[in-house]
Amino acid sequence: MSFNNRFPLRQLIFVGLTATIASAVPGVSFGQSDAERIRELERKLDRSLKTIEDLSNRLKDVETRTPVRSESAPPSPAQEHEHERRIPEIGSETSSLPTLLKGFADVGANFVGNGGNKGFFDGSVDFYLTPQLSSNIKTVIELVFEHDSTGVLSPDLERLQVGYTFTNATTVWLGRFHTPFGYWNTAFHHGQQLQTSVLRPQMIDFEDHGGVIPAHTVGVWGTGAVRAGTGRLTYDLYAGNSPSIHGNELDPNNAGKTQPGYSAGFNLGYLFGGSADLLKIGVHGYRAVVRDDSLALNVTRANIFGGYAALDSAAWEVIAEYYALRNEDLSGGTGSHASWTGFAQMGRRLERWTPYVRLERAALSQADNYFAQLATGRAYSRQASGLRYDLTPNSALKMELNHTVSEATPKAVFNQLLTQWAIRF
Amino acid sequence: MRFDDPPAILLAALLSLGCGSASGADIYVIAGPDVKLSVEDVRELYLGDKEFSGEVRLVPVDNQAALSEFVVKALGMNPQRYNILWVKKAFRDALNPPAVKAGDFEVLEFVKRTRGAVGYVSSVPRDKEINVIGKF
Repeated sequence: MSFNNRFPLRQLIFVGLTATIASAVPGVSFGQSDAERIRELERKLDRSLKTIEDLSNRLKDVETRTPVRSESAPPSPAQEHEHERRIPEIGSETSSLPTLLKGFADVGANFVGNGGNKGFFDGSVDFYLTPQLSSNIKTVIELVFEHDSTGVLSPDLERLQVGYTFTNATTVWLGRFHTPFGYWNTAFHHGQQLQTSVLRPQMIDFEDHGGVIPAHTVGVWGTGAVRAGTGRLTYDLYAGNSPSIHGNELDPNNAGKTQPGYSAGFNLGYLFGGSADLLKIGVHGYRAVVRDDSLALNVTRANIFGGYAALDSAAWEVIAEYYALRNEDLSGGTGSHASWTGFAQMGRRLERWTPYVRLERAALSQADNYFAQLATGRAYSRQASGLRYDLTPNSALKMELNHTVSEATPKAVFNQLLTQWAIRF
Repeated sequence: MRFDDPPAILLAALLSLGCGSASGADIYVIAGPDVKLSVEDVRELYLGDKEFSGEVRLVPVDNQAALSEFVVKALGMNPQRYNILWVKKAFRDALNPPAVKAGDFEVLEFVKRTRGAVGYVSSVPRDKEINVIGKF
């Protein structure tokens, strides 16, 4: 439509519109002078142009955040993710839900200065299923394949849980689960693509990777959350087989054990605002009778108590965990030994980039048989910094540089440059 | 400010007058008669924190056509964060994320024939079998 070629129409529209706008402006009447009306109109038009500008900015914002849903266009990363969450019609019976195979994998290259393996490597492949068997019964089956330090491929039944949900606030699981201490162990575990960094904090690493806090428990676990104020109070109560120390590493005793001794623990947390993307703080405790396979056949009661805080927002990731240990020697009569360990990690999310830093420290008493018998039970400190880049919502490139001082004998000081490409499917 | 550009004035006026509707259509959260939920429960349901309404297991479903609007208005986050949250929930808590339906019609059909189903649509449903839990 050309307004220039239809001047009378243009005038009519202009006059009509002016009258409409003018009459819509509060306080403007036809009794006002022309100058006042024009000023009022100018103000109105200024506001209108500002509104257009705001709308334009909002439209741009929406266009950049919202996936294009064209049938013919190739799927955007967000669409691909939508596809991941799409499941067929499920009917009225939840037992007919199809079970999707999901998982994680990672590859990369490491350059380490401590005499360990270096060069390119294939990391782990983690498959997991979460079938909902009925309205109340659900399961978790997680299987991990990874090479050990000698290159042998070893499968690991990471989680095997069967659970019954009694209410919105109570689910009871039976089987092998991620020990619910702190935040990291249950939030990320083998989900390398989920965690920002390349390495886990050493003290809570997997048992066969040198962790000194039992990362898995075989037993029974009650978990849930209830509203409390504006947030949610979360709880975990669990009991299971005591771990043992075999071959200088922790063994969760997946197939049961021949000697007495059980473990028990709790985790109480508060989630501010009730949303998983806000701050969570909590306390945790753990107690177990741990036997080792040394000549002395030491028996230690491990007592762990600590706290944690985690912020997982769109802009920040902050995780801090603290563990105080007061282990008692039940077989040698050397009494109680105090140790502590903890870490703090902070990451800043800048669109696809996430630079991060982490500090780890462990002061572990060597008079404590528990640590003396573990290959990695030496005091250490580590400073790590890294950069993560999210190629797509389900694929991340990471690079991490760390410096470690280990109070082993002899003392070890080394640096590591680690790279990783972690995916989720 | 130029007053000799009527097309610009017309456009500005129309956009200005249309501001009310440009802020986004309302989203109606709906469920079958067997579901008793409050507006406050909707957030917990779609964040995986609520699984039951009495004895009935809830089956939330997403509406792809209205997902962005719903997630921003009802959950206070963007769709990317919503997706990530469900990935973490699935891995950590063994919860399966809501199924995704293409649009209002599919959501309405699903809610009508699925016990415990909860969905959201962009207009008030006329079907008497469907209750509106809340508007966002």
